[in-house]
Amino acid sequence: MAAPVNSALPSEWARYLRRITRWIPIESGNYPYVTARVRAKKAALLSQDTYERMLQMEIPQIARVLSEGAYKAEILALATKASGVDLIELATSRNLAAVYTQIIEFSEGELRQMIGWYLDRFDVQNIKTIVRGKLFGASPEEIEEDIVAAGSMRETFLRSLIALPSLDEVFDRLDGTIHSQALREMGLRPSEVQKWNEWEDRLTKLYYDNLLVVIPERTEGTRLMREFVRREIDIVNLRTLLRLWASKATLRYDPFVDGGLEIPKAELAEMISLDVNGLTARLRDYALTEDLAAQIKDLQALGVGSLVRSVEKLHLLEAGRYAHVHPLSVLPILDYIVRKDREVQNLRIIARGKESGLASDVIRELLVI
Amino acid sequence: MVLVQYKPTRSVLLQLRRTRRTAERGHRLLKLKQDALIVEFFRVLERAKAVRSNLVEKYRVAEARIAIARAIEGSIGVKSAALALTETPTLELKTKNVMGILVPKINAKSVRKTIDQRGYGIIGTSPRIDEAAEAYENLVEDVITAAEIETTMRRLIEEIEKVKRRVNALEYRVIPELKATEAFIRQRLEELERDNFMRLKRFKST
Repeated sequence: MAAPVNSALPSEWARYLRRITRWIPIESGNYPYVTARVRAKKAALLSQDTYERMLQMEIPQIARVLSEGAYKAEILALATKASGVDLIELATSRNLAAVYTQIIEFSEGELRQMIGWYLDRFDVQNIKTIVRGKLFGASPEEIEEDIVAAGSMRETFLRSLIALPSLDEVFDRLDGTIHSQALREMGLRPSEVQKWNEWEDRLTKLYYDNLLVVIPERTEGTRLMREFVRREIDIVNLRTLLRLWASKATLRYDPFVDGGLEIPKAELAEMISLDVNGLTARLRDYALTEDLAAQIKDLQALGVGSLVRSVEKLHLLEAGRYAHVHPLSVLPILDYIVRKDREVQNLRIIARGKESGLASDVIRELLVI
Repeated sequence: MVLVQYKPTRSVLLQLRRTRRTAERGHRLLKLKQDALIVEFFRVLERAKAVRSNLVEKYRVAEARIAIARAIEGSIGVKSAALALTETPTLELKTKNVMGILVPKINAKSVRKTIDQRGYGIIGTSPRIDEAAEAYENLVEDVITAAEIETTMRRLIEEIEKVKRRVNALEYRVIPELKATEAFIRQRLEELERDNFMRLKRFKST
């Protein structure tokens, strides 16, 4: 995992072989075993009723309910270090990391590669946190607190990166991965970089590029997963577009990700400079943004976050739609990964919402159930 | 007693009269300054009230926004984005003169930032973090304005108190005492004049 794009294409012959094998409808991997394990795990996820009950509970009660279920080990281990919302958040993050690592460990072949790449978004986030922390001058303990080792990089490796004294050494250790490749593309050494946001965006783009390279279109299952990822790219691009449009900011580099399902990258760049009416008209052309277009006028009042949230919610709920049609494909696994992530997000939303005194209706609106 | 300090002579009387006139002129000027300071104070107070209520509202908005950002992105995501900041705001402290009082003038730099100045990449982060950052930038700007206005107000109150003490001292102590001394000396001089007159009359008759 986390290899640079170029390393996957060493020669003309390999490229030819890859093109041929992409169309052979056989996938390597222990699908029956992984899907059976994942189905069992899916049965243990929290139900809609539980969320409704939690909305009526206080934070310690929520922690107690969690300590009686799937989060028992993490809650017990962390109960001496943290309390309240922090305990819930740390325990759920650790549980998420443990579950995802477990899934990667019992997957094999191409399936492992696909899941690994999908979950490497956590590695991307972790490396960004390490870089940000080192630039800010945060202590290793502070950075470690913010790490969620749910990707293919092990916690011990991430800790060793945190312990390194300089960013040059960190990137030396990351040589051969997309993290250092993003920096190489900028043509700079870590000590020469002035604005790290460009590196962060290049890294995210490389992550999605590699994810699309690694998911073949051989079977209906992988085709649908690819579609799911491409839809996610559309949403990421839409979010970027609305943020840049609302703030009227200009970036020195291209901030859009290639490979979206519906909205072409070239059109996104054009839309930044449009006025309200122009943007509304353009967004009406796409199924994804048809409903959203009418609300563009109220963007300043509503905020980009709440505007995009409805689209994100629909996207997350879409993942499970085809999982039962292709039971022995990557889709039930992807469905579980997304559901688990949603569960952790929902628990965090309830706990943080309660802590901040948000009304139950506001919290319910943020949940993805 | 003040009366004891002065010799009842004409030159002292003239000197006292000059001092009283100066004290009365000073009293009039200080009274005018006090009135002007009170007017200025009420003007600043109105601004301070508006800024204070704005501040409370903006703090409430910022708290709500950070709560939503932490709820959706988690405190880990929010903290990670916060660590990306490389350019911290700076404050330039100057002073300006309001009726002889030095009040602060604070110029803040790099408080409000554009998306690319916040340090984090735009693709991988949530717009909720932008919204929270923006709300806090607004809040910090208002905190700086409030600090400037409230310090000005405090300085004005101190100055009004000082001027009030001086006006009262002049009005109720210095000027009445000078007047009393003046009257006493005038009385003594008149007495001396009457004595002289009587003495001269007696000499003339003998």
